[in-house]
Amino acid sequence: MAIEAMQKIRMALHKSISDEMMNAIQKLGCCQFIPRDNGRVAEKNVASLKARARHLDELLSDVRLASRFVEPYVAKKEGGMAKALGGLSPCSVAELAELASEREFLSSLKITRDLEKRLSDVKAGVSRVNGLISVMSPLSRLPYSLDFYTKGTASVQGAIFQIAANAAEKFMDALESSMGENAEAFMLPAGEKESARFVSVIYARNASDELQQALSAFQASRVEIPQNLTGLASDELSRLNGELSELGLQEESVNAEIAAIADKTWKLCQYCSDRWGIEKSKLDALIEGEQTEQIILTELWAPKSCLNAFNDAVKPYAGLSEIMLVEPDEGEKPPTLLRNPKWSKPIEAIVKMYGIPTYGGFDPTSVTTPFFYAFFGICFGDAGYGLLIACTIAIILKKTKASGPIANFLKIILIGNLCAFAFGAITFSWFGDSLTSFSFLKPLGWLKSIQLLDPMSDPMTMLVVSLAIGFFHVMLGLAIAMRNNFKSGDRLAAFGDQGGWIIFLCGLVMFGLSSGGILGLPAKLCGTVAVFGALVLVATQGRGKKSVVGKLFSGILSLYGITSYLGDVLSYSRLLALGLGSAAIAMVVNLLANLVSGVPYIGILLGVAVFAMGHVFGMVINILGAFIHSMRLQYVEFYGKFYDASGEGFLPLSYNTQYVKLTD
Amino acid sequence: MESAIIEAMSGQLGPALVILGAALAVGFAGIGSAWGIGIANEAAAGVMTENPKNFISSLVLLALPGTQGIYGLLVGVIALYNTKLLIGMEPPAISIWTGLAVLFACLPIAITGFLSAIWQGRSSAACILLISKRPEEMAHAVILPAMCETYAIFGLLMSILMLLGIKVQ
Repeated sequence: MAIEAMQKIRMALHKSISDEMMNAIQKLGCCQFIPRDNGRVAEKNVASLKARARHLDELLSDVRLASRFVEPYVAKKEGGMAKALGGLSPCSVAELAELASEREFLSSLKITRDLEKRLSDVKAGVSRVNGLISVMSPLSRLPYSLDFYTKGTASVQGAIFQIAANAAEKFMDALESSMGENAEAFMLPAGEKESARFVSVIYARNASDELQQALSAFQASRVEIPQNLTGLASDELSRLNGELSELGLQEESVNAEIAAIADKTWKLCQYCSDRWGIEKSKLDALIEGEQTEQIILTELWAPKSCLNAFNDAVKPYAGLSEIMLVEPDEGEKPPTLLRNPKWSKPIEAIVKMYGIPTYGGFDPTSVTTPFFYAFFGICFGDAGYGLLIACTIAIILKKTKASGPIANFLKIILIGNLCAFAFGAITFSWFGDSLTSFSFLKPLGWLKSIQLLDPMSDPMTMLVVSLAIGFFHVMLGLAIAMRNNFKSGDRLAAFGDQGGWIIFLCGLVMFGLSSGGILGLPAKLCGTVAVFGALVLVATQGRGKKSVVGKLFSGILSLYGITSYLGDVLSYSRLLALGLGSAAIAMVVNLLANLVSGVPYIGILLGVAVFAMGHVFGMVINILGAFIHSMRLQYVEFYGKFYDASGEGFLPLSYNTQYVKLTD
Repeated sequence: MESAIIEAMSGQLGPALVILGAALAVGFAGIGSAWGIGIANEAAAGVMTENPKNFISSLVLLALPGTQGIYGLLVGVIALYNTKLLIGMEPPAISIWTGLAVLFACLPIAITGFLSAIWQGRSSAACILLISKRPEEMAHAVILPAMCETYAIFGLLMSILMLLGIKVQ
């Protein structure tokens, strides 16, 4: 429940040790460099650093291109999930530098580029030949050589026209009537279902005007025959088909060559990507500093808890560097680093998805944790589902080397399902009503003795529990907002904006409970508390207005805000609804399984299949709903009351690798 | 004579009205879910033409409007369970008025489920487009369509409370 205190550090280092010193800081992984205004820096002072950065950019771009090219051919490619669960292959920085050799990569890149060019040439050839075949196929029965249509003779020229099938006959008649003996036209044979016809016209060159005239009345397009096709169309088609087969063989051969180098190149690209990525981030941090000819001046943020480690890391370079702890500039906000205990650490991811807390503000992780798990448990609400999924995830976590966000996510699901198990046990929901539906499960009926709630037959109790949890959650949100206002010195806002509402709403609820005889307090007293809260609101909510009437009017109008609190609390009724949803699906699945189990011979088998598939479906659907709605209750109803998520995340210079796990 | 006919009809009409109520709850909420998912599917297919890797993130969003169908199913099952019209139960005599009450009780989820699923589908479609451009916005994109579902949840809750309040002899 804490945001790490940050220290701003100003650092001056001599360029001769900059590389080594930055390596040490990067290895430490707890310093975020602050970009500085480099406008005044002479270009020559940063030229060499920028040139290195540019070179690395080019290399990384080549790595991306090469890996994208060979990726489809890689045989032993690990899926994203398998990689996340299996962990990354361990490796030291020195080993990574050895594995990611620039010389080896460049020679591999040359081969890759050559293969890429050959493959693209072959593919272009295939596309060209396919284009020619599609042009020539309808002309395969043309009795004359194609050069007759491309070049013609001194007095005669051939042409082929494509025309809609329903206009072809009329086109032939028009040609005959307008050109007479100056042209000879015939239609190429075509299937009845084809929508276009091809008409060959051989005409006297001096009658081309008459031909144009005949064409003008029809939407006929001239088929352009490539000049290099000279023989009979059928011969040209066979030649093109032969060429296509040849190109197919060439493509296969190139593909085989790529496949042969793919695994090695892919791995090399991964090493290079990680190594040069590390190098590039270090250079970027250096370039962000102010440069003189010999010195780099830079500023950074480091968590105060890491200052000792930082001092130890930079100690060897004390002779050629100077470190100063400085105060942040006016209005400058340090980045936010959350530091939470182990039990609430996984929920940080859910908090960060909403937004990063502002530095010096309130980190809601620990206060979110119990509610998120409880809501998940109530919404999922089945002991059988919870136990099954929790055990599966526990085995996955134990057997694999899952780490980072995936491990956190699995832990959230694991604990959430343990809550679902507990809630399912007290509502006697074990794969729905399976313990009462299936006679062979009757011996487990003793589990009913731990039942405390029965949402199916008595939903009112569960609804009241859901709304009570919701009321408490909303009040907690207001209390946190009040604490934040107190801390920032705005006591009037704390007392008026949150205190007034807490007194008013709690007073109203207590009044309702005591009037109904549920609470043993005098209803009058509770009513007075509520009225006091309302008066506080009326007195404080219009404080921004200038006139007394305005203040009073705004204050009274603010009481309308009770509807939003009512909506917020009612929203928690989803806990009951989603829990009942899980139970109903499970009940229907059990009913179906019972029905099909009566089928002769294969009934039992069918029953087991329906039971298994139905409950897997139920689990998938309900776990999604449980997760999303538990998250929504935090984001909308809870965080809306107090959470200022306008912070910037802490992004330290570190070994940020994608494909290997650095052991240094 | 007339009273005998009415009495005979009452014995049949009561269960028929209960079944109509259950059918409306499951049918309308189910149609709404299918419609909503269909709308979201169109957007998902669109963004997958640019990048097939959008499938997994789209899947979460397009499953969201499916919940209303489940709520309808839940109300349908409770309606039949409460009136003992499920297979294997001994149904009691259900009067026309009881049947009508069950029918009316099924309407909140039938109506809110139907309409909210369609609007949730449209929200999901918009959010699918959002995450195709900005995958880091997944958390917010999941929450936005869930806002529409709130009213289906209220409809579900009201239907359940009404159904459980109906006393069947």
